Amino acid sequence: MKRFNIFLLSGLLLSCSESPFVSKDVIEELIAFNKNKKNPFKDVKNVVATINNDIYFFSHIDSIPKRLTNSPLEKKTNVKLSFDLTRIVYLDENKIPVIIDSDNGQVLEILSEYSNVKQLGWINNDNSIFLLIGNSVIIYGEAVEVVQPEISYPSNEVLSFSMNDIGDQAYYIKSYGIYAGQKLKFDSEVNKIDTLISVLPNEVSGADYINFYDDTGGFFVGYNDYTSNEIEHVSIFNDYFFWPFVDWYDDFIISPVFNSGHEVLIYGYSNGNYNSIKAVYLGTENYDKNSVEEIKTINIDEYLSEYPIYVDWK
Amino acid sequence: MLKYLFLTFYLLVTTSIISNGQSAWVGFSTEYNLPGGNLKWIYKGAPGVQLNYSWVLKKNKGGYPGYGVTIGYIKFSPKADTLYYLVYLGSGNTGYGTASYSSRKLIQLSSSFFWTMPSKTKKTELIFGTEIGYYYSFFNYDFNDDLGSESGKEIEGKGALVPYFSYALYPSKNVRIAPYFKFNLFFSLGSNDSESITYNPNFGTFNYFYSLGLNISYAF
Repeated sequence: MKRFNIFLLSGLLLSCSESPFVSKDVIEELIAFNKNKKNPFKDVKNVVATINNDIYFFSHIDSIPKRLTNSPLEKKTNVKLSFDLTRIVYLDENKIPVIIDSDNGQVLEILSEYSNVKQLGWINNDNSIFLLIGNSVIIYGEAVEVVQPEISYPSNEVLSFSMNDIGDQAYYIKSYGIYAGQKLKFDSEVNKIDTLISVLPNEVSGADYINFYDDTGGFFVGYNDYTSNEIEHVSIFNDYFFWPFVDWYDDFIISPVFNSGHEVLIYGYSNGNYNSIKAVYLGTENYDKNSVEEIKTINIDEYLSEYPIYVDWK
Repeated sequence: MLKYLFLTFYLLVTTSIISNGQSAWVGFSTEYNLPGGNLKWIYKGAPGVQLNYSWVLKKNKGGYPGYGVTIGYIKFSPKADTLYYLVYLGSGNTGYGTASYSSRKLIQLSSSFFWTMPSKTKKTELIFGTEIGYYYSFFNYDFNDDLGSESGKEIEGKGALVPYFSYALYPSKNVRIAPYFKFNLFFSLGSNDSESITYNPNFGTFNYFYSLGLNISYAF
């Protein structure tokens, strides 16, 4: 009764103003707003993925994707979307980079002079692409200064290389013998680092994959499963000086991409039977009244692939 | 206490008119009632009917007073089965609630005091008056939102103050047809003193609605 009286009293005070009642349309808008507010994936847009060897563009992770290529017999991997969203580069079955238009899939360039590319990425405001081939880094496009990986022994191998637009470069070397293991070399103009950190911190050494996720110095590393040789564990760092602020484990993690603005990790997921796109919220905000510790995941089951899915998103 | 004063006053006036009657009119009104204020938030317009008995005290050329009593019934129907409102849940979160109301029935008992001004031809009159009355109000309500739910029933006698004016036509000497407009203000009586026997948690609240009607009366 008390609440009803308060309601009546508010009605009395507002009797010359607007009604406290609102239309059903307003409520439906509120429900939609609250649903979005509780959805950590609401702003996950511009996702590209290889599904059954063709490239698809999702304007939003929940949307119906646009199919950009129609060559399912030609293997495609390592897909990367340019920051201005206009071009996509991927590796064909010979690991040769191919650049296509992100709007209609038209082939713009085939970088046939480069093959067996292990890792690549857009840099220099989309004016250049770095390519890790063998143990060397090659810049395609506008020249960008790059520190080549140091190989002490011929048996050493550069497993992974990444760089960003603020002068950070890093790579993992696989070494053998008495110092066997994966060692990280991290060069940073921002933080004045030039260190081979094979012993510190433990979380960083021993990984197999590194990728800078933005231009603030943040990066993540991936640890392979020894039998499948696919990533099974990702550690995400705000910058070199901090221990990982979050770790994520899954069966098979293919081409993980982390976006710090949304705190969402997206990757091609495989459980051994099928491949799909998986998105994981790794932030600390409460969503949908769940605890901070509860990590949200969505699996895009509508678009399964017979082959491993490579993804990127901006 | 005010509730009982209104009831006593009503009975006194009624008794007075009946005991001193000379030339009286008995009439029937049908009207359309348009909710205003917070009543309008919930209810749509509703028809109403009234029976009235009035008494003209003394006829003079320039105008003359009169008294009357009225009993009426109105049933306001809600605008929708479910109404919606927003609820602030804290921490920047907003939810919503639903409210449902039954029809709101009013039984009207009132005494009127009016002044009649005849035209030069005496075939028409302008009538200004005020009713003071007692409205019995009945309705149920039900609220549900993220903070809880609440259901209840209101059965309450309320005071009423109803200024009105009318334009009367006389097709014959004993028949009067009078379209009218009323402003119905009704309010909770009692006391806001929680320790008083007349304590009424609704005390201080009021509602109003407008009536457009047609009265047909017969003089005897």
